[in-house]
Amino acid sequence: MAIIDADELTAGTRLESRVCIVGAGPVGISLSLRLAELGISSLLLESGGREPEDDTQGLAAGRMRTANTDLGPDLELSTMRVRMLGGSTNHWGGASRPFSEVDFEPNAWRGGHGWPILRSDALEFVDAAASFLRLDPARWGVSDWYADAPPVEDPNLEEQVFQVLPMPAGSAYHEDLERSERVELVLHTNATRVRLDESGTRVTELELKTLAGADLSAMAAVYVLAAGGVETPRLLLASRDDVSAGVGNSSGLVGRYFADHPALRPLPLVPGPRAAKPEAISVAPAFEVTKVLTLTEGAQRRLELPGAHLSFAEFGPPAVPDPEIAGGVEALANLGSPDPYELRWVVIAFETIPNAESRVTLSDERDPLGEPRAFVDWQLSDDDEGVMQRTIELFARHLARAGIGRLRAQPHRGSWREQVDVSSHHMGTMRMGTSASDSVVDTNLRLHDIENLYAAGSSVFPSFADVNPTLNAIALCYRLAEHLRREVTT
Amino acid sequence: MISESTLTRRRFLVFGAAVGVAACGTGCGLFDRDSSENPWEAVFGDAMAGVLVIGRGAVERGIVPDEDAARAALPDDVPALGSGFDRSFHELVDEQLLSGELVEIEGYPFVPAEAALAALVYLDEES
Repeated sequence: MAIIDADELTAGTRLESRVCIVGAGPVGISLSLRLAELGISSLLLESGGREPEDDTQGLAAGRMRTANTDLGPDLELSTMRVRMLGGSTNHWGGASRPFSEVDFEPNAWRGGHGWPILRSDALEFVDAAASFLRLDPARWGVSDWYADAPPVEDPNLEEQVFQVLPMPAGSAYHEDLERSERVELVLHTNATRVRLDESGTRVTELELKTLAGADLSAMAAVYVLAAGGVETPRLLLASRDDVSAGVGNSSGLVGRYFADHPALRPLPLVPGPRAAKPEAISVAPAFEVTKVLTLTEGAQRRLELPGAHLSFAEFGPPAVPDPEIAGGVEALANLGSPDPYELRWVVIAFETIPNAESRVTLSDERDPLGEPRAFVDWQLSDDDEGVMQRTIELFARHLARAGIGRLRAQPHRGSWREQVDVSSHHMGTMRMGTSASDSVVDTNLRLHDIENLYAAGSSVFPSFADVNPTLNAIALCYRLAEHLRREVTT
Repeated sequence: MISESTLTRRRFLVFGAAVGVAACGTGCGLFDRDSSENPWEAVFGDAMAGVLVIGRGAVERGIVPDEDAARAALPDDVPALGSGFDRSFHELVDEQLLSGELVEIEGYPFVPAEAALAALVYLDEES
């Protein structure tokens, strides 16, 4: 088929295919190529082009309020997403690791709503997903990379590895998309409405607009929204022509449970006698493997703690948060030392507890296409603060006892949640579950209310682990491809 | 992490002159210095203020309640201060660190010898 630029289409053009996918990020691209392997044609719609464009990127603009943090009231959403072929893989760090068994469990301390499918089901295709990201699917163990890694002498903690390859999916798979006979990629087209039939249970078409002013449409047997954790709910909430609450939103859950991975700004670590920094392993150009310190699955269950991991950072923030006290710590630690320790920095990233009040809604502002912009209210709760405190105490105790170094175990002011950065891992807003009363999509990622509409990506995660979502989201979308093969061929 | 967080990529700040002072290691015999100079400031330099905060925390929290407790927690040669802080003190700290004898002051974990020394500095300054 072809790569088409919507700006070259005549206004009123109707695009048709068996499957229509909105969003050519890593999930949309991997889904379209997988469907092609399965013999199914798809239409892949992308707002941007092959290169970054200011006007297209401006369509992603919107505000994000972060209650209980000092990030300010108005973070700009367009700095967190990339509207172009390949989506946010054009600016990601590329770190990947599969979710663990415990990440899928409906533990009360995680809000009680676990994944409605087992890890073995959700990640059945994780090897294929790793291959798509050009990672090594068979080497997720520490000993697979670090032959002589000593065990962590703490029953609550262990080391894990991340494979880190910041592959831009758009350029990496451009030729595959161009050559595919079953993928039609349409650039510079923006889905603005999901239209339903009279019963309100079936999508009839997507209304599309271009920045050049053309109105287009797309028709398919099945539609998949893979536009990310903000844009997917934004599109559904804005689609109020046929249902007043927005498409798929009969329970009012579209956009709720928004989550990110809060990462504490680098914390000073006053090194100790065993302060060797774990060295990253270079696998290939731009491809590294790195170790982190994390909670064991047993400790998470026993201590009722969501996931978290600690890694060493190359650089710290521009200023030490508590220079006076930290200077005293360093001086005491180095007293009499012939070889003084040098300051290090660590970063700790956390899983948050699903929170319905943390959500995406529509603002009163409009984008250049006349569509309402997204507003994100990201909330870190008192429970999240408690998790951070308890987890940091575990890490600090271990680091000190292991002679690795001294880490402050109390916030130097206020609270820990005041001192986090965003990770731009937008999750949770199209939550997966077994019932329309507590979720938006079912176990096959189909919207409960709509028989031919699906969501794909980290937006469907009902809980979030502490690791980067992309690998796991792609594994889920390969599973969706298998489901769609059955759906569209029967 | 492993996050897409945007970090300001500046070289970190080393904590003032603390490293430099501490690095003097075996050469910091207090009585080698001018007697008019505060001997603790001679040891800790710009880190003195931080050490005092830590020492006050140790005393006020009852971790090291008084000078007797502080001296009791330190090796015999350290309270005398005649020999300065040689490597034996550093080795003691490392030994206590690895044995897990930790107390928390001002949010940071310390070993008993460090807490005692900071308390001694604080009490000396207060008297």
